[in-house]
Amino acid sequence: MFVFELGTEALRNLARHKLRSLLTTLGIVFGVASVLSMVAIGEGARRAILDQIQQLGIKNIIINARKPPAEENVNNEDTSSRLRYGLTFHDVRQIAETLPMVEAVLPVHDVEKWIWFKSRRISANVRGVTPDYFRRLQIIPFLGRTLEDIDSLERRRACVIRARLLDEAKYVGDPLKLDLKIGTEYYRVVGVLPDFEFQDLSKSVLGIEDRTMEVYVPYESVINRFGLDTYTRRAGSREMTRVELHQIVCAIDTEENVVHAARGIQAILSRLHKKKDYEMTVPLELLESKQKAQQVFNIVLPIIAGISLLVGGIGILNIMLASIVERTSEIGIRRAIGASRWDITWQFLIETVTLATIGGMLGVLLGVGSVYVLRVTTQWHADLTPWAVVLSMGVSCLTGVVFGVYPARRAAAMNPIEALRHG
Amino acid sequence: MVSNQPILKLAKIEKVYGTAANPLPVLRDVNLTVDAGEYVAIVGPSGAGKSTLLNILGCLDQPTNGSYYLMGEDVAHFDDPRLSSVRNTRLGFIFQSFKLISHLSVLENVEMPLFYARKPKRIRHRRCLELLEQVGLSHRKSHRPSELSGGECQRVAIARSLANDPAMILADEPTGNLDSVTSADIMGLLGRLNDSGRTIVLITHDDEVAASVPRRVSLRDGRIEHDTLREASN
Ligand SMILES: Nc1ncnc2c1ncn2[C@@H]1O[C@H](COP(=O)(O)OP(=O)(O)OP(=O)(O)O)[C@@H](O)[C@H]1O
Ligand SMILES: [Mg+2]
Repeated sequence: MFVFELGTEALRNLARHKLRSLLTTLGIVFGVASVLSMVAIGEGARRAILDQIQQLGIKNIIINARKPPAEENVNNEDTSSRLRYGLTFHDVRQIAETLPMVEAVLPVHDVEKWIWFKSRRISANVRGVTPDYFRRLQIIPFLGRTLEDIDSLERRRACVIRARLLDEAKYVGDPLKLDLKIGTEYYRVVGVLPDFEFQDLSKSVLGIEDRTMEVYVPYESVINRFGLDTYTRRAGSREMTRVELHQIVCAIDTEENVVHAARGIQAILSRLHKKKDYEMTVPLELLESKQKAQQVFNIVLPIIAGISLLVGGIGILNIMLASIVERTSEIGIRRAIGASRWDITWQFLIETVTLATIGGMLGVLLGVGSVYVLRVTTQWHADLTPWAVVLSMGVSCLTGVVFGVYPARRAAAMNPIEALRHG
Repeated sequence: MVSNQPILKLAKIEKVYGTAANPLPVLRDVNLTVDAGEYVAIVGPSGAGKSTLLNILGCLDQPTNGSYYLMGEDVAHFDDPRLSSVRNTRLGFIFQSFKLISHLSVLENVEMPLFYARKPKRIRHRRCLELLEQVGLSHRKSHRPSELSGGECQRVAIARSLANDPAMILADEPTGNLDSVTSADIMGLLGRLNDSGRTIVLITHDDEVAASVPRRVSLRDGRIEHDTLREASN
């Protein structure tokens, strides 16, 4: 009750010198605002990366075929300009047979094909995948379903398309009643996948591009109907490229086994591939390296926060010391009337804490405002977490306590007689 | 307030300022007893030690030597919280320059001793209105001290000194800053307080003021020179 009344009294006192109080708190205001925005930006970046890694699946290992650099192709043993690279069925078998912690090895084969929406023709990337692919990579359709085991078993002509394809083809009807012509055959659309579901990292790792549009069909259909070879014309001669598999997704049984499995897969692949014509991505390791990078931030940020609060606190200390000299006579009067040293200590301590807390509140407002502006005007993912707001309020309050003790003790230590003689 | 015990008893009080090498004695061997309900004026030339004595009486200062019994308790050895509480509840101060807090209203100034006595707001408020009524300033309760005349300020200070119903009022030249008419007005107010049983000790330079007080203690060079009591004329 006593403390509460001292609080309202402190507020009134600060309100008497509005400009001075405001200027005094500026250090804390800017300190809190900048730390808050930094935390928000850091947190946003962290969350974005986490989301991407999570999307790839923490228990997955993804291997992509990569065309080796050109000079290596030239001294290829094959003189009939037949280019072979990438992942093979053999790789899949080897991984599945040697490594028991690999629960599933999912092959992916891509073919570039023309597809027809009725009379409209569009170039699309036709991906042959197993039904598990959608499950393991958490790809969820917003319309219809993904491919299922029955599609593979019965070699059904079913496909799942990206929503973008519909826009591109200016198709307005029910997509699930649509038969797409891929190459020479018709495939029934069973599901539509949303666009922009994937972020940059996931896109590059999964080989999904904004430009090309994916049509997912059962893996067996792609292999059987389109074969493994791609022919391109170059300088009058036909050039053939053979890539058995463009991607392999390995699903590991537990998170603990992922690193171990990655080492095993690496060993198998480097034994089977003379050239480095593949690239392995381990989301879990990405996550760990990102977390290490985050640690630097976690050290630097508190230091910056500490320095800005120190500066803000010294500003407050300075003004409170001046204010005490200015109010010497008041202190003398209060002491004569019956205020003990503790009463005086409390009065000034609470005033300083109030000042610092107001600074913290203004800082939070400014921080929230600038995070909002950042979000609206830039591409940054800035996430304001409640704990950051609560923490900065708490720390400002604490700054008030730390820097308020000295002036308050000094006010309390004044000799009442001398204080009364003052002014 | 019928009690055989004196309200205050000073025995062999000494106060020495300055350094050990160069001591400056301000009070020497002061013995003084004041009974409940008395009205005492301390007079003497400037520098005699009157304010020093009053500060000791008011527990704002400690004597270098000697003992001070206030209402039977030896307050010379009290710590700060207890001394503060004595000042708060048993004593009331009035100063020459009023010593009101300028940024608080009249009501809030009067309320302050009650605040430090941890009285709840409602009780404080009621008591203050009562006191302001008593000193005739009810209509000024929300004004700032700077908006009042000197006499009005001193009446506010008197109201404040009475807030916790203290046993004794200590006043250091309460009329020093006032003209003779206002001065008489304030002395009248103090006289009425004494009539209703309140003990008052005041310092004055004004002979006229001193003449209106029953007991006169005159101080010179830190010693009590005379201590005279006269019969009340009215
Ligand atoms: N804190 C102090 N340090 C040193 N000397 C002091 C101190 N306070 C008072 N004195 C000295 O003590 C003596 C008595 O001072 P005091 O204020 O008690 O006088 P007074 O009788 O009240 O005078 P006046 O009528 O002018 O108010 C003076 O000589 C003064 O200089
Ligand atoms: Mg004096």
